[in-house]
Amino acid sequence: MSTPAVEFRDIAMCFGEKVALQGINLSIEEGSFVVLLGPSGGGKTTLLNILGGFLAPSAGQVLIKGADVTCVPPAKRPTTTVFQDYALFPHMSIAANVGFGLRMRGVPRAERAPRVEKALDMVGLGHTALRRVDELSGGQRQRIALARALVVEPSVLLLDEPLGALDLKLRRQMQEELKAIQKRVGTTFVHVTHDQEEAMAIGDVIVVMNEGSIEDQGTPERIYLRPASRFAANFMGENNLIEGRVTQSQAGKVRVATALGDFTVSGEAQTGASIALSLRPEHLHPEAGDGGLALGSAKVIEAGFFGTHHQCSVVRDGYDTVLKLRLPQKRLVQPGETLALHADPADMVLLTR
Amino acid sequence: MRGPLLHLLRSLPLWGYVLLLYGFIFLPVAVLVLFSFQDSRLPVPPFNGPSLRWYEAVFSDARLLEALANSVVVALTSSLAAVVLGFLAAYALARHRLPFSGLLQGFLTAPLTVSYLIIAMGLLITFNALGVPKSLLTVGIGHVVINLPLCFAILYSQMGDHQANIERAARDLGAREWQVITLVTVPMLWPALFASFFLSVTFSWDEFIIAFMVSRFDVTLPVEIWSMLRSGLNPKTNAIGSFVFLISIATVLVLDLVVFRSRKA
Amino acid sequence: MSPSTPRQSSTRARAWGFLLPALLWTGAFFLAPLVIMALYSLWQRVGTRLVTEFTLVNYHDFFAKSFLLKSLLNSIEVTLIVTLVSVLLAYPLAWILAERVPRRWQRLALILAILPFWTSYVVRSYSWLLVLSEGGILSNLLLDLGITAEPVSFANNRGATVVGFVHFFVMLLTLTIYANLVQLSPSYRKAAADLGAGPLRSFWHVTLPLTLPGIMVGAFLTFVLCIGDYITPQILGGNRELLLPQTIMLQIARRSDFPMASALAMVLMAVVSLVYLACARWLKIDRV
Repeated sequence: MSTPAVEFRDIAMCFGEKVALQGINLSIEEGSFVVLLGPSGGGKTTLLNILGGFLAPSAGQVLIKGADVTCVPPAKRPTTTVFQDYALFPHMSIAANVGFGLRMRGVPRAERAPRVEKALDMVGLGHTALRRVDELSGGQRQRIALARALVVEPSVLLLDEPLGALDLKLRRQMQEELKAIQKRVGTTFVHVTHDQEEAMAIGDVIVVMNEGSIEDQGTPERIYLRPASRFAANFMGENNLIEGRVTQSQAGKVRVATALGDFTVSGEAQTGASIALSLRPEHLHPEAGDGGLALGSAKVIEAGFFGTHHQCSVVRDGYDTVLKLRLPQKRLVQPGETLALHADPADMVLLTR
Repeated sequence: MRGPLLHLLRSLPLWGYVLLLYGFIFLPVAVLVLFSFQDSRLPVPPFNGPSLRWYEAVFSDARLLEALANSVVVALTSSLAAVVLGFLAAYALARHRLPFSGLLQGFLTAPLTVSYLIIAMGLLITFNALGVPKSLLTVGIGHVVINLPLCFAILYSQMGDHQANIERAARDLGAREWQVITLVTVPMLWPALFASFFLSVTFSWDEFIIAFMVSRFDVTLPVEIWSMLRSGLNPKTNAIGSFVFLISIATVLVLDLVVFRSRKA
Repeated sequence: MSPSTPRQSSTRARAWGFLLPALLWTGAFFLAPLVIMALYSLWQRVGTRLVTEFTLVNYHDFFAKSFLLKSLLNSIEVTLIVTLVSVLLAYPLAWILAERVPRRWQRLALILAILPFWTSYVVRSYSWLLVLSEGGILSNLLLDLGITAEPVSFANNRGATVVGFVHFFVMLLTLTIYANLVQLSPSYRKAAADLGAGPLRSFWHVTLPLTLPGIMVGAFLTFVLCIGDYITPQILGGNRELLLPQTIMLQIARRSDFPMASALAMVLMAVVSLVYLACARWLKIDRV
């Protein structure tokens, strides 16, 4: 296996009494688009700052392409950052902004200009070289910040919640563009966000962080469909958590007893252990289908229309927790209606933590 | 890592510079205060003392104490006038769409751009031409001239849309104009009102050139101190200077603790 | 324009009523005196009489009489030196206060740096006499160290005036430059470092240009306050060289020559206006 682009070894970070990160071990593959996902205060921005060199970790090592950079200041690291507020220099033209990193590296003016132009073209703003920062819109500034960071051809590009200030439509557009640009230049991107939809849309690998630790990491599909922890399951989207107890366990299959019924799911667990089953709302059906088990009837207490689907909250007799399920776009539903719940145990995910 | 020692060495020139500059800044004041406790007749080395005789001299100098009282009166009254006039003007311009608003604002803040010397001269010549005698009143008038623009600018900048909405709500609930002003506007603006009053008092208290030019027999403290300078270096001057200095600091400290801390709490 | 309702016009009337006192005061005690001074500058004092015929003789005398013109040149020279020295001394101090002093201590450090502001301006200049006079602190120090054999005076010359001014304006500029530095977003510095700029280059390419407007405002303020100041040169400057405010006061005090004094005041205002126009680029004030 080739040297990973980034490696974190036993990283810990404390601010006085507060522990921001602990026991972080993470390997980032060359050329991948990694998203650090988590709630505010979860540690993802701290980890990014450690990677960028703006913070020195309390313990542990950071390696970039195999070289230990833990004590190296930001100016000397092969990383560049797209900041949340873009941090474009207001007193310089666009071209001067984008060319700044090249200038710091001693690239002569004659060589800088074409490279700056190329970088601007890549983000679709080739004609703005001589304009000033305050003449551009938020979305345009974001792209300039990206161009500025990419033109120096860093080993790793860091993005600190860069899309937070944009409106929804612009954000979606930028997500696509970011992904396209990353594929085109092949640089390793490390992107921090708290928006799980954004993470799934753009990331090759998602690292879910909470309270200073890594909860889960993997491809978007894997984390969404088979989360490794309750936190990851809840954070990645709407979720039903069904508490239960293991009654039997053998050869990768586990029998679980819950208030909704007994199910056989794949996974490993100790007999007698308390576990939870995660069932996504779109895997809870209002009628029988292939492989579905009947779970009983439930009354709809709330229904909302989301354009592509209806989301309903239902209550099943004898089960306290409200369950959430999705109904197709054209299936009209009213509160008070009774639905016959069905679900396939193959869609249920065993969560031991 | 490499080093607290290296870090210290690198920051040595920085702290050296800071110390040098602080030394320069404090030197005259330190000398002033030290030699106010001088026992002999000259406020220069060697230092004989400490002695309070020059402070006694200050407090037994009726003219000096009168000047002090005059300064207080002029500062308080002129600042009050400046704040009131500035508040009314700011309220008028901020809350109503008046024609030439920009021009009026510029006019009211124009005195900020003119040297005190020129303002003082203008007043001297004008009062002279009109036959108005020089007195503390004329000094007070001049101090309002220099402080009004300041009060106006501060208060106007604080009367933004946010405040306007609250006043609108009060009106909506039935308050009449004078009630809106006294029960809503003024209390909301309390910090700005206080700040502009305090700044005006500070500027008026220390102001020399206008007071010098348009006063005659009754003078303010800076003018009295100026005439004391005619007799050269004198520890009495040190004493009154130190006294004023310490009182000013004490006032600011008290204000900071009482007014600002209590607001933060 | 639609006719305003009775209620609108009564609120309008009230607004004007509120505005009027301030307008009248400024008009009567600021604008009118300036106009009168301008008029006086065009009149002449002959003997003890005021001759109210329009004449430019005052201005002519200003350019003809070398000592009058010289006082203006002295003022400009001194003010430029003071402004330059004060900015050069104050910027590093403000920078250190904003960047190197721990946040908790910054307020205290700043207050200490401007503490002497609280001495009266007259007293502050006088205090420099205590330091610079013959037999003063500096003189005694040199005597004690054996560097000089007799007491030496450092006062009553241009140098003393400059020192007195610089002392005041270093404090003022430290305050304004500090305020400017702390409101600078830390992201800029992070971005510069991120792109490969070391601390020196980050300062030169990013921090300095971004604080330049603030410096210009402070420098302009320094210039205006310094050139119009009578106290410091009068206390510390001695008799051999006079600055413009001193010549103005001379016209008034010794000769009661209001017309000449007015003309000199007009010249002073003209100089300040010219400097303002030159700096106008940096002096746009934004409303909060």
